[in-house]
Amino acid sequence: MIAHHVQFMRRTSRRIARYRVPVTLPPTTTVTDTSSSRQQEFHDLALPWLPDVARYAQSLTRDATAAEDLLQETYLNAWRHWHTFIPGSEPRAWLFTIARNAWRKRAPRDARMVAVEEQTLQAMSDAEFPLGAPSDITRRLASIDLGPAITHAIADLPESFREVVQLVELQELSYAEAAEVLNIPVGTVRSRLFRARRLLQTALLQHAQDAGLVPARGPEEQP
Amino acid sequence: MSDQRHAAADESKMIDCGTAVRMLWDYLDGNLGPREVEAIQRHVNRCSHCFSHADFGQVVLDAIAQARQSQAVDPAAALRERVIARLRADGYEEP
Repeated sequence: MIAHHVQFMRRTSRRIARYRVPVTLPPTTTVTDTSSSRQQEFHDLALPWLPDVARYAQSLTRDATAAEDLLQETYLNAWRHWHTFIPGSEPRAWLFTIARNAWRKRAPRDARMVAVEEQTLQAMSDAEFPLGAPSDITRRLASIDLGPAITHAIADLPESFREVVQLVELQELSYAEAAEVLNIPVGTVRSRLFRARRLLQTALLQHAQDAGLVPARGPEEQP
Repeated sequence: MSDQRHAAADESKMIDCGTAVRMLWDYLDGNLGPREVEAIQRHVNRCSHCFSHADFGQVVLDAIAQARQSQAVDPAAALRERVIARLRADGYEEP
C-alpha cells in the first residue's frame, strides 16, 4: 500500500489543477487591437501553445498532412479573430476549441469515427469491466513498457472517449477546460474519462495476452 | 475509549466494495478529501478484491503517463516556421 500512498501524493498536485476554473474577465474587456500590441499578444499568448495544438490536431486527424493543415487553419483563424480572445482566459483551451470546430466543419461526418450514442458507449465500457486483475498479471504489466500499447489503445478508442483522454490525460486540461472545448457538461467529461480508462484496461490485458505475457482466461474465469 | 469501542468506530467508517470501486479513479487521481481517502485506504488495505482494482487502476494511469511523456516531444521547428509563414501572409509580423 505504500506504493499507492506515494502515487497518490505524486499525482495530487497535478490533478488538483483539473478543478481549476478558467479565469475570465468580463466579456466587455477585449484585447487591445492596435497592430503592434495585437501582434505581441498573439506572439506571447497563442504561439507558445503551437506544439500542444499540433498534437491535438494530430489526435483529431490521425494523419500528419491533415494535422498540419488543421494546425495552419487553427492559427490563421486565431490570428484573424484575436480581437475576440478574452484576456485572462485560457488561450490553449480557446485554440483547441478553434481546432475542433475547424475539424468538425472540414471533415465529412463519415470520415470521422462514427458517432456512437452515449448509451452504447456506456454499455461498451460497462460490458468490458476488468478494473481488477490478479496481482501477478498486474505485476507483469507494471514491469514492461506499456507506452506503445497504450498509445495504440488510445487511438482505437471511440471518438467521444478518445477526445476526452486526449484533452484531460495527454494535454492535462482541467475537466472544466475540456468541457468547454468539447461543449459538454463537466460531469460528462468525468464519466467518459473513467469509462475510457476501463476500455484501456481491457486493451492492456489483451495486449498482455497477445504478447504471451499472461495466459488468456476462459469465460468462466472472468471477474 | 475501549478497544471494543475503537473497533466499532472503525467499522462505522468502513465503506463497501461498490462504493470503493466507484470512488477508485477519483482516489487514484488525488481528487478526494482526506476523510474519503482514509475510508478508501482502510477498505483497500483489508479487501484483496479492491486492492487488485486499485493496483490495476494505477497500472493504466502509469501507462497513460508514459504515453503523455512520449507525446510531449515538440514538433519540428520547421512546422512552426511554416505556420508563421502562413500568418505573415495574413499580416502577422513576429515582434
